Amino acid sequence: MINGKLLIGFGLGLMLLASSCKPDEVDPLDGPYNLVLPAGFPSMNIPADNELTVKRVELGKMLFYDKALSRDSSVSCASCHLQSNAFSDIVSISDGIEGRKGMRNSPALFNLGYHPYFFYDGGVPTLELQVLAPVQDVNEMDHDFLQAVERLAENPKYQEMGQIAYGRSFDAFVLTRAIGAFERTMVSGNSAFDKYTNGNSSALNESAKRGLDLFNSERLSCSGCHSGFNFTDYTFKNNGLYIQYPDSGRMRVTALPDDRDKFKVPSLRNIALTAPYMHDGSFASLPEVIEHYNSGGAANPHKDERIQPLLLTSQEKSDLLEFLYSLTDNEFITNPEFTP
Amino acid sequence: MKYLRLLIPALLLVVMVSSCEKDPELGATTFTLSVQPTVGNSNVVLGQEYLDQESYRIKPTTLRFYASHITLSSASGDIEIKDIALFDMEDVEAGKPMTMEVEVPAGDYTGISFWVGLDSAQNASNPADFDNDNPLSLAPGTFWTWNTGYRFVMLEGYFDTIQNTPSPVSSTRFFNYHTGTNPLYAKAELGSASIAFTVTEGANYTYSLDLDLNNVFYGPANIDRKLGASTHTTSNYPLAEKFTQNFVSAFKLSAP
Repeated sequence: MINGKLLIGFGLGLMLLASSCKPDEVDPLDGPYNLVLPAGFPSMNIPADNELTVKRVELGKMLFYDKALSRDSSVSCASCHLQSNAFSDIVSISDGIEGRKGMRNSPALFNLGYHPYFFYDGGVPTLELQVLAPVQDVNEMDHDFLQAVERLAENPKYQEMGQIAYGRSFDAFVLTRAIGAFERTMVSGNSAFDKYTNGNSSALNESAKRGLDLFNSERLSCSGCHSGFNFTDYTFKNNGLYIQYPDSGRMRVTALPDDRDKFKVPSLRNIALTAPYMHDGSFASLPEVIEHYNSGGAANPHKDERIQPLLLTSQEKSDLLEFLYSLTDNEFITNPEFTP
Repeated sequence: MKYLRLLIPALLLVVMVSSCEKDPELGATTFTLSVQPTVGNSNVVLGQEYLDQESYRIKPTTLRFYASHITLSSASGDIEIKDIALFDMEDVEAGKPMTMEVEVPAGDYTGISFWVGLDSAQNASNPADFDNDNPLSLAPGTFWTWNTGYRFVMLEGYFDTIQNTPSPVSSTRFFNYHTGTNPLYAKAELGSASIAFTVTEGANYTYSLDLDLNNVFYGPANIDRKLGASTHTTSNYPLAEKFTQNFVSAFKLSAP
């Protein structure tokens, strides 16, 4: 017969065993972050080693706005991702440190927890790994990542937050995980379109409703790629921007000729806020984008077959534009949860 | 009986400790795998110039590569002695070989094998998860941040494209071969460089290979240096394939 002391000893041993190997515990000073998803949004897959907590998200936000990430402390993530513009930039190509120019337009940041990969070429599979790229990119922050970590680790607040949020000193693990956690909370789904979808039939005016029908029509095929709740199927497509592209797109990371000149289909949420458009920011306005698709695009051999002349009337263009305006989530761009 | 009450938690603690360890101890004899980069008969010192076998001047400035699943074979089977090792010329004294040390059981071995690069699971690692002394960390500068994965081999430097030019080598002919991605994970073709040897208990053993850069440039695949002085793998995949083919077959047994 096993007596009580033996059971206590057995239980204690099991507790020690469990605690010694468990990688992702929450500090008593921290607590779960309540991620509220808009009606109709699917659940978000959160990595088991980076569950959302209040302190992780708080730390991630601090880091997102910290210019010390860049070599000369002149640029933060927020420098090229402005909340007022759905965390995109207002210029075609953003300035990195010393005014250096990269090669692609700064993408909008929202609903990132649903993306299967990041960047226009999909070269990076997780938000945590994505953090590494802009810091080290010579045209963005141009900072050796470990040197950036070393600099940030001198901040006592970050050290304290690292311990509370992740139970460890501030390091590359903490830096990448915290920014990833913050970015997962940047959820946008409260536009007029969403209200309409959720039962408020007056949330869209008649023009926007006609635009929605056009958007979903077989004739225009917009929703063939800009599909689902996030208005993207996350595939890589060529939309006939040029006959010859200076940027090989997806092929840059796969080396596959079939991927040449193809770029990740962007979400259309908040699209009225994210000008200029396309991977290189070559269109200044939404009417220009609509004109591009109406024209059928340039004769690129990799162009998606759905990109054909549309013969849109003026009214149809206006209705499409009105629908795209209805995708703006004003609450998102003023939400203090995302403000420094 | 009272000792028995303490014994079970104690055993659990032992299980706890052992369950978190990475590798079991294999033995007490130190085995060293040594890789000596050369240009012909000359040991490579980073930043120094050499004339290669075709009389082109070359100055290597960076050389590092991953070897994985380093395995010793014996009559009783194979023993993997190291899952990942980074051989890096920056870590060694001028002219000395790059080395990897590990404890192995004494015994008779019939040969050695390893892969150049990282297998797909290793290559999917997040470098931020590792301390800086780990070969998979960010510290060696082997991780591609824009196209997730590790550079399996990094060879950089300067070379001339005209034979028998006087020193110094042209400062404008920079070359960099950075190869990686899962399809280019390849087993080292050691051939006669994999030989039988005996590890005696208590006596350190060093297995020495040469990595002749002549074999990297003049191996089975034709690398025209005038046309291809740079690849980040996906930027020039055919060149990366050729480089890999030559690199994995460039190892030779060091002269005794």
